[in-house]
Amino acid sequence: MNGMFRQSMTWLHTWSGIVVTWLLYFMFVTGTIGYFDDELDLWMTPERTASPPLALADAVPVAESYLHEVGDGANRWFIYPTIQRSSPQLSTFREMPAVDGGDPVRKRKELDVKTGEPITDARKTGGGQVLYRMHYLLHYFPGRIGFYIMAIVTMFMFVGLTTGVVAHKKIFKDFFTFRWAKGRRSWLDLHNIASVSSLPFQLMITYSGLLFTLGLLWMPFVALGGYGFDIQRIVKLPAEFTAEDSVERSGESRALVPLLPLAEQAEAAWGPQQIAFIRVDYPGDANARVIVQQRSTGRFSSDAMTFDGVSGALLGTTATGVPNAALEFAGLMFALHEGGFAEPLLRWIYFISGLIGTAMIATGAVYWVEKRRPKDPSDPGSRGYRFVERANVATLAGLLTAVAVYLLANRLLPVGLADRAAWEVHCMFLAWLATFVHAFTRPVVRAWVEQFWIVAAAFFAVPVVNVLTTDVHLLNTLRDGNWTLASVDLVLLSTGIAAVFAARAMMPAKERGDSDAVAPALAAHPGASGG
Amino acid sequence: MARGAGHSRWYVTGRTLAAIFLGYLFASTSCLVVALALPVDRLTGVAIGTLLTFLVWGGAIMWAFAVERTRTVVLGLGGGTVLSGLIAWGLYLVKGAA
Repeated sequence: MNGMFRQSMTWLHTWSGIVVTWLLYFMFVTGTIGYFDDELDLWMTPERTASPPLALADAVPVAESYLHEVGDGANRWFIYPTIQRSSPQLSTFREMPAVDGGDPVRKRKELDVKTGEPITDARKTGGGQVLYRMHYLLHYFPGRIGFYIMAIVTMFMFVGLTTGVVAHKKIFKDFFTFRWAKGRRSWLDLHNIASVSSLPFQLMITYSGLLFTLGLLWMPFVALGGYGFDIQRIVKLPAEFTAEDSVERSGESRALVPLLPLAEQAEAAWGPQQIAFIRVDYPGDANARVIVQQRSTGRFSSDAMTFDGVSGALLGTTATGVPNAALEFAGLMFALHEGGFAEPLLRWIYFISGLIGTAMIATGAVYWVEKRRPKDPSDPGSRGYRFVERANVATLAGLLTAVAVYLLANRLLPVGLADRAAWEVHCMFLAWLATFVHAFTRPVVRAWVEQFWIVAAAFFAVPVVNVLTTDVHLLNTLRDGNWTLASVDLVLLSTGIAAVFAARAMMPAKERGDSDAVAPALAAHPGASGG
Repeated sequence: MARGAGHSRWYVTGRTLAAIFLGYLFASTSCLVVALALPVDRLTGVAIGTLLTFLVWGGAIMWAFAVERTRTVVLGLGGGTVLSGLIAWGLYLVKGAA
């Protein structure tokens, strides 16, 4: 590889990286948390508890009679009879047809198996799902704008990865090189270690991220051209991609077949606790269909059984089969990205890989600033330089504070507050805004140190507030062996401890009391003397 | 991009626009050729072509910043787009709607 090519790729890596760095960091922080979205949902509704496993005969009829009662004439029902991370209680979902040109009405309800009534006493919260959705949709943007912004950011990430590989002369040697406390060299070494150690994950997560809906929303021209720009044809493609066998409503009423025997038929084939959900299309219609879907935990592809919704006859198995290898590959990438199959150990590996990706972006952003730091300590640098320097503080540290505030809001906002779930998110973004104001008004070294102390304080505050406001705090969850909820508090405490180390690392050496060690970020920093 | 650091603003803007937009168009049309030319059914071809577009787009962006002259980028990606667009049109006329 000639030097000129590497030089231009290094240039492209640098600039494609810094342009999207804060959105990318946002995507990685919220997306990494998203691997524990369901666990966070449970943590954020302390009134809810996880149910012990349910027998089909106890679960299905309860959900069925509830849906018959409230979901007459629905487009679709879903029943989740197996207790799993995404449904810690017997859950139902229904989609009622749109009225007067509005959107279809979708309702998810958890049921008390004993009474058959919906569980309604949980506080209103966006839960972990809101953070998870932010990683590809942002927030506050109407329609698909957030999606398109994040799609573009993902493409920048993709170019950043490929050019980053090229930019390295000695990728293997670099990996084993770490120069501690050598100013910007240390940041580059950290960036290299984070990137190289997790490169396969980063390539997978980025390429698969580009392929959602097979990229049809923003890369539609191959499909459009392939079908002669026939729009009517194109809108049917996503269903064809998943080989979804859809039925139409007939309009003729027929009684829906009892669901329990169908579920038992599936359980006989797959074993106990293996049903992900029972889906009913057009319940009560002559064309009704019942699909029993197998769980995908521990495997990439799962089985399904399709039944006639009136006679109960088995129509076929494996509704999820896709028509060709290319689509199977896309489905595999989707499964890898979502990690829905991942059992606890693998889920933690996903989480850690996400954290390393987050560190890769953070160290790259800091290195960009360190490399451009003016030699003369009295020179504050160009306007663009100062902006990046400050925005780094407010994003790399400030976003973490904002996440902690989101969790604090969940515990502290009055339970009866109107639009409570929306206010949790408002609190998060108001806190983030405040960290921007702080970062742009304080001397930059002080801003770094203070903001990491704020991160530490905020993350230590959450488990403490949890003790004061709920029964599901660390003292109880550890005693009861409730590792799902205990892990959330433990991760929060660990983040707080990490922030303490970060604050100390960002401190000028003399304040820290070390005489010879020089903090990596602050060697010869203009603001180090209190600026 | 032989001049290393210190590119003029217009130089960088031109390069970037060409890389992103012409790269996108070239990826679309060239992968459409793949989708139509492969001896497979249309759904499979379209799926393979779409999977490839992101790789081609990424490659085009890298190439756009690697060559010496901006004119080469515009002519290369623009010409490639027109040429592969015409080939795709021809293929569609020959093979017909799916």
